[in-house]
Amino acid sequence: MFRCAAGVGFGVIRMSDQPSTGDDHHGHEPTSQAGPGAVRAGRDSLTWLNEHPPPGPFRPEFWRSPLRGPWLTSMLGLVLLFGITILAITGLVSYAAYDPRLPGNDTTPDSGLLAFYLFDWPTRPVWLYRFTQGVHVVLGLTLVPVLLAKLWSVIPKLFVWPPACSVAQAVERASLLLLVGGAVFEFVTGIMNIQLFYAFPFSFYPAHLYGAWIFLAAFVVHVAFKLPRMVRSLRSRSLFSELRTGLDATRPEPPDPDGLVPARPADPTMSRRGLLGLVGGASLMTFGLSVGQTLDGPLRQTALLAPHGRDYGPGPNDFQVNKAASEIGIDPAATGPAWGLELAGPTPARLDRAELLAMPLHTYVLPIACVEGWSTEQTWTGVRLADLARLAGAVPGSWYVVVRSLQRRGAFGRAALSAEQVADPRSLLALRVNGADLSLDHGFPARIIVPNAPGVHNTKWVRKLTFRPARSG
Amino acid sequence: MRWVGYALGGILIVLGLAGLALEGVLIGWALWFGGVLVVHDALLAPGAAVAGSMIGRWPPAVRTALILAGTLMLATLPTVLALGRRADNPSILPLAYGLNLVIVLAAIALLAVADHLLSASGKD
Repeated sequence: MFRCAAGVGFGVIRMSDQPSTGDDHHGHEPTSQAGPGAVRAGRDSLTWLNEHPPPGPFRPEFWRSPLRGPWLTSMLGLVLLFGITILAITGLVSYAAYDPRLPGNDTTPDSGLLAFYLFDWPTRPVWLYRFTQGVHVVLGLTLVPVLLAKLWSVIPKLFVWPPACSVAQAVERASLLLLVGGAVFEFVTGIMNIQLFYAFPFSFYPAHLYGAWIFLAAFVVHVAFKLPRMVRSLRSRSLFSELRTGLDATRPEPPDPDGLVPARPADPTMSRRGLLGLVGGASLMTFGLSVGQTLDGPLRQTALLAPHGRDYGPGPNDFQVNKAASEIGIDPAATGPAWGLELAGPTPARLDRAELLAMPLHTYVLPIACVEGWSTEQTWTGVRLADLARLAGAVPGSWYVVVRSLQRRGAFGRAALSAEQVADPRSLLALRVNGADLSLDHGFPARIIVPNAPGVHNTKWVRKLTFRPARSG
Repeated sequence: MRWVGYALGGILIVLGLAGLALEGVLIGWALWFGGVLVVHDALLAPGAAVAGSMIGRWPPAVRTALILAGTLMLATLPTVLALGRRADNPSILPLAYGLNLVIVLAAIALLAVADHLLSASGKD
């Protein structure tokens, strides 16, 4: 609220203790009035300060858009309520998809209680991670205009004067700080990360994950507080009739207790329909420019501004890579004739590429789905992980595997795959893709491809598979 | 009920902060958390307010186009400038993003002109 006076809950006429200046009941003269009588000490000067905000945005008269009001804010809030809930679920699901309970997989090993919801990540449906992570990234980009519009709609609240006059209000404003800071932090780091611009001085994974929990805490508190008011505000006007109201008939909403409706509204230069259309159009634009990187075929080229939007060409290895061989220190000589796959288990073995190619080969169409949101489906040929497990003396279905790569630099040079992933008949040590040998950048001589696993768990340039019995229960 | 919300929220915040601290990213997180707030409150919001007061009386189609263009560039700046491009990985950021941005901006401008011409005949 805008005022500190106790017992006055509805502060439309904020600064009501202030003398009115004639017939302009919205105006006031902040410096002319020091109260009747003599100057009083301490408490009164504080009261004076409370009632005389600094000039500019701290004065309610500064904010004049006639579109601001609880209905508009609630409309945008409703979209964000659903949208951010989906972002939260898909984001937390992505953490689970990395199977962090398997040894060495957890990029945030100190998550403790926050890991309460983890579950065994399934291998079917094969498109699940492609879908959830595609939604996380594309929806995040789609919500950028909605978030900006929502922040615009409540910006006068940032300048509420006095800053706080009760503990409860101070707590509320602190929670808003976490809410806004958390939202902007999550969007900014997420967007920078998918655009491969790692300018932040921290590791993305833990900062984005724990930052999300802090943001979600503020989000849940905010929703719990505002939900009744949001429902009430949404009922105060009909969306349908707003969408039929042009500029000429656009009027400010009735004064509200939060002071979102301007004290001195200007004439509208845009209707609510126009504003909602603008936000919707902007969202449609960011959606349309990013969704293509989750699609194969000609539609991929619609991702004009996506970091992995390119459709490479007709060659069998002409599709995206996240990390190139040269980038993470793969020595091409180590992938030549000297290369051999080491199998560790009860019956260790070493197989060169020719021996692997002589084993029963299977071909499946499986997607590569990156945490950055892009994905592509390809046709992979290779040896079943289950067959390699048996060769090493392991029992498919109750043994998991630790995969090690030749890579020397960068993350995910090793990944653990669950017993279920090892046992799935479509989980391959792939040797070929689309009928040709893997290219060096795609993991030659051999790479993992597991249905529904996050992209980076499909380890490239595999040198060693270590099978271990899974802990039961 | 309200206190349950406070308590749950407080616990989550503490757990989140503890996680950040244990993973050694608390300081970096705090710097950026405060940083994005400052950028939003001190640059983006006043910038939008000033821009709004300047273009407030321009034709709706023009304002719409400018807001769309601004939002788009804000959300895609790292890609358009190809800030994450690497010589040893031609697969990332492979497109001519400057050109593509111009194409999208031109499409926005075209729509704005079309809208302006159409609404000149029939009032919005």
